[in-house]
Amino acid sequence: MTRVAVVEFPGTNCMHETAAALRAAGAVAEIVRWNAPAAAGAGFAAYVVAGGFAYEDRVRAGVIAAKHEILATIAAAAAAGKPVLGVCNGAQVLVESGLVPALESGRVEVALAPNAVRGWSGYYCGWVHLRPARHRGFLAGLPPETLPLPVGHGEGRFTGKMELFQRLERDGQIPLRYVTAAGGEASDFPLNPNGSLLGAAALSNAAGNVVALMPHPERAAWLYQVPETLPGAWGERRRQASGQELLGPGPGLAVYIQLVRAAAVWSEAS
Amino acid sequence: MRLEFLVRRKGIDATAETCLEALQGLMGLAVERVEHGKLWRFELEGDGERAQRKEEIARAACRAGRYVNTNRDVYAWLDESAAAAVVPPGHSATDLWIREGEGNDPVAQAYFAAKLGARLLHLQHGTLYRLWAPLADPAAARAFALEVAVSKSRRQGLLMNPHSQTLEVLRVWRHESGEEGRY
Amino acid sequence: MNTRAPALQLGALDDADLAQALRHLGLHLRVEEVRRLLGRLEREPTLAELALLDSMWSEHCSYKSSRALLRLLPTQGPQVVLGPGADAGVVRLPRRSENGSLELRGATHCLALGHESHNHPSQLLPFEGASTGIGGIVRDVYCMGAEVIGVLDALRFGDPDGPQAEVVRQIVRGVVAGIAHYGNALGVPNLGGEVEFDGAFDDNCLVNVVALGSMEESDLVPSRAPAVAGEADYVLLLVGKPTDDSGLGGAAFASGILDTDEATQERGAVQLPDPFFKRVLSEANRAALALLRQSGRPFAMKDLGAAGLGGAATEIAGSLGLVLDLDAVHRDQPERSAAVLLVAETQERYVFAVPASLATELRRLYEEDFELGRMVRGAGARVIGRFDSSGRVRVLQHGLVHVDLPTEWVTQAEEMHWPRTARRATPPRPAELRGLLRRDLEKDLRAVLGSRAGGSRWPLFAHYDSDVQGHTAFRPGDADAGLLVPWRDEELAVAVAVAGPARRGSRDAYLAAQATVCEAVRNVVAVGATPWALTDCLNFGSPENPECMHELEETVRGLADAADALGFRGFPLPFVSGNVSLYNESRAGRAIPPTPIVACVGVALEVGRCRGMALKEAGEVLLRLGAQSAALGGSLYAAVTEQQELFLSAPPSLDLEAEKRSAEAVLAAYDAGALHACRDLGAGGVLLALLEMSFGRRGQPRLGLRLRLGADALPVPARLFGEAPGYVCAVPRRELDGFERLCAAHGVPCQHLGEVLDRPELELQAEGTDLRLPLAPLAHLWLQALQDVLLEEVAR
Repeated sequence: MTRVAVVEFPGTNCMHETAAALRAAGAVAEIVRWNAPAAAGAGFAAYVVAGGFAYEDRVRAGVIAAKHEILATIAAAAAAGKPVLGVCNGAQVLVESGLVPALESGRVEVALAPNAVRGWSGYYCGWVHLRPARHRGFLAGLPPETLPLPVGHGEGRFTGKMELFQRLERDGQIPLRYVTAAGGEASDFPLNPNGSLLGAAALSNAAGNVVALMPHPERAAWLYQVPETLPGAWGERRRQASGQELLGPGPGLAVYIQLVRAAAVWSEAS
Repeated sequence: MRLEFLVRRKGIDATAETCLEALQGLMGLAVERVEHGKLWRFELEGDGERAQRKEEIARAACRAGRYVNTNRDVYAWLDESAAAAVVPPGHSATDLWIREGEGNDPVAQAYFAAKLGARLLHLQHGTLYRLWAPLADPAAARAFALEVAVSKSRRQGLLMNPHSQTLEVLRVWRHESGEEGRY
Repeated sequence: MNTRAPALQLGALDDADLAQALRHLGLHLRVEEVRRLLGRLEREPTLAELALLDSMWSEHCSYKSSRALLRLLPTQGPQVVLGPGADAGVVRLPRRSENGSLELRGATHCLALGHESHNHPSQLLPFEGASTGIGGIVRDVYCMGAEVIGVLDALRFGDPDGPQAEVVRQIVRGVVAGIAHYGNALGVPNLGGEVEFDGAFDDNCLVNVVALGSMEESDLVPSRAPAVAGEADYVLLLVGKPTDDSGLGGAAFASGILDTDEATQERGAVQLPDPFFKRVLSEANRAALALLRQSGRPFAMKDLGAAGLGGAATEIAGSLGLVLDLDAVHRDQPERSAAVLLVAETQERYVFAVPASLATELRRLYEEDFELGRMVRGAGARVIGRFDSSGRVRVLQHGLVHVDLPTEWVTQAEEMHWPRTARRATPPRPAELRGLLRRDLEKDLRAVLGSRAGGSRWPLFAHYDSDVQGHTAFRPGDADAGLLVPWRDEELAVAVAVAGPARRGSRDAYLAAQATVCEAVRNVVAVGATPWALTDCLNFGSPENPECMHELEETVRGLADAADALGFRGFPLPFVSGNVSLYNESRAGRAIPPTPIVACVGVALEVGRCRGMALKEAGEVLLRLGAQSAALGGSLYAAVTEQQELFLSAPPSLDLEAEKRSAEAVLAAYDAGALHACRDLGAGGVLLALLEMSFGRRGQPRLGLRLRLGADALPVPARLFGEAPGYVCAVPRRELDGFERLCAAHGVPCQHLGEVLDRPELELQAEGTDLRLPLAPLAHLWLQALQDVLLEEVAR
């Protein structure tokens, strides 16, 4: 039984559906609070830092949560090669903890800054399309088709030195990028919802076991969540579905399935 | 001419409270108090009519509650006593100004430019943190503030991420002899 | 025996001096109310007693001016677990019977519903006012033991192009940002809303909010302490933020008329939102409720809203007694007066009536497991009182008795019966329709699409998180109602929509109220859900104005008559929760038009049967359901195209029986699987409804419309823009015969409009009209209509 921890900080609000998605992906999921005793926080095969508004994003999104001791547990898990996924606010926590991209382990090397796009100011909620790219880590198993997922954030712009981002791209550390429904480059709002450099929707560490992902796969883990008007195969599936099919998997479940698989592999190997 | 306009909350500032709890409680740093506000820096052409320009800026900022809502906020000029930190002996307060990128805001700039009696050369805004610490020496206070501010790793720094934000240490306030220090 | 705190000296004052003394104290109690109190009390009151009663007997808390009228509303039904009067209404949701119908026996899922207003605070401090509006309504649902699964908002703003344009725009931005910030940070999805812009709201914006919660019936937490608390050792536990003076007397403040000159003096009266703390507190409450439920001991819970601690404590005491020790109340500063501690509206606080033996463990849960004190300085959980069977509420501070009153006095304000007179009705102007034949249809269409009233609301709602918690199937812009799957492994779906009067309100309050109920119902039926329960918020001017009071009465009668006439699948349609907001006028006497806001919740046994508004495939047949009408009075079209005489002509009539029949026809069509898309017909009429079905949430049309209007006595603009109520449906061709027979069987008139095109174009053929337009530019015009109100950009 693959045990996955869903980490909750004060103000995290996506942990319940994240745990449900992990269960749908075959894991035993347990919500672990920020102040759980170290023993309670260790011993999981994978960690998901859930989305939300830890500390209401005061000072900067994810930065205060990153100071909690549970990050030491998560860092140790990351160093041991266990899968670690940060979703939205969780991605911000990983970036502010120096766990992603971690060219030099533990250093803060990029930022997830306030969205900067033309035609919109602040938080944006909508669906985007993602193209998987060459990747060493647990997202490598995603199907090659464009992956539609919802975003909901105001500080989702990956930014830093362009040379760094180009290096990350070369090294397969940008596992998902914003694209159009047809798979072409998306540079403008709303398909690039935040102005991320190189259209990055996710960054990983070099080994690929730690991923900071801005879109929310747990909000697309069930077919009923998919908008009727979504272009592409998933929209078509949604429009044709009836009855119990709507309680079946959505496009986001694949992300958690990949994580759980990698966690199971890690467990067996150790 | 540079004019710096500081807007703060009346009463409790939740960001300042949470920031202090993080610095003291989570990071174990010797910060005694945190104040928090938004600082607007106006660079205007010419040198004269300072008070007149200030009046224009304040009125424009408060108009329709656009940037200042007097039901919630107070404003002050950084070069006036209302904005000063009155520091007890042996302590200091360091003003840190943190901007997203350069802190430019074309919409705000266009708005204020239209309302000012002198040409507005540049406008930037950002967050002001005032960190109080038990350090009298200004160089030590400044170094401490930078350590508190710049995020380098998980344990080092909190207030700004150097990959997207700009930091400026504006001033270190020290104890002025003859003044009662107060928090 | 404790000594009483110093009393005020009011009895000897004459009316003028008494009025002045009350004003001086910052109280809004009327002279008559104080005299009555002095008579019953047979002694002078303390300041704390007066402050407590001032709050509890305020309009906002006690509904004293409207309670008698509200009894007219239907509130009963087999689905109702708790009706109005509780913090939130609770309804049972049906399950599927063997023959596929709605069945309540053996059904355990429930929905809690609350509806509140936060108008005055939002006018003064838009962001904080709207934020704390959301904060308040979710608390009402949480304290029933439910998990809040969605919110909606109904907004009225002034004219963003009128004389107060600057202020109005700042209010719009602040309110939208405030609703977004609170809902998003707390983590409850926004499922829909509605907004109107009208100069009548320049000085008095309206922010109404609705919250839904899911729970099992066995999880319902009472709001009154159990009877056993009078005998056994039960304590009052206060959890949450430390009490301060924020929002002081906000309830009484909100009942006073907003005056822009005094605005700055009211600053202490606005509350500070903290959705971060609310989320932590909600998770802590979840754990506390689990602990309490597991103990098997009865308990109660209430949230602290308007009228603060004093209000919540006396309400939870019910007919029991309570001794409250203010020294135990955790607070921001050591010295806070008894009056302040009792009536302050510090946010994010709840009280529990629990066995004393559980108090220690609960305190530990809040203060150690969830570290409330580190989230907000001074926050925590404290035992602050003990219940008894005395029937009196006694409040002590520093050993002095500051309050000693029968509990039921505090919660029962005397009803006020204000005189009412009907406004002199202006007869509608005659409708001169010949002019319509000469109009430029394309120009009018572009005016409607680009107008504040007709344009897309996406620039507002895309700031709201509609997906958090993962239950959302239809989000704002997907359909006329939001749709949730609250239990992820069950197909049961809940639809919810909110409606309010557009332009008609000030003309005939009775009809406008009925029309509002009908629209809320149609929104829910349009997605295939059976209307199940209603909530309402009545936003009016001063009840001391007889014409206003008359309109309030007419509105309530209209709501009641409509709800009584509707009711589907063998179930009635009750109001289960509501709110009244009076005194929405400036000191200058400019009152808002009567604005009843109605939310309707509906159920669908299978989420798979529901349809959003989007056109699905080329060749679908487009039909209109409902009787047609030439009436364009009060229509969006007449307003936007500035046809003043037409606007003042008679609006379409309302026929409740016909509404019921057409709703039943739509539900039957859904049962038969005959619909691909369906919409309620409201503002803008058929053409706007159809175009939005093509545009989708973000204005990206893929499929188009070929509309062929045959010869008819009605002029084309009336057929395209008329707001006679009904539905527009997209039916796959193979289902058309069955659909038409079904409409006939239900006695519902049905008109062919045309069909869906496989390309994003509009083809419109009618008498004297042959229009072909690409849809993308129209969609862009529609999408941008409100953009500049929400966002300023510097031209490139």
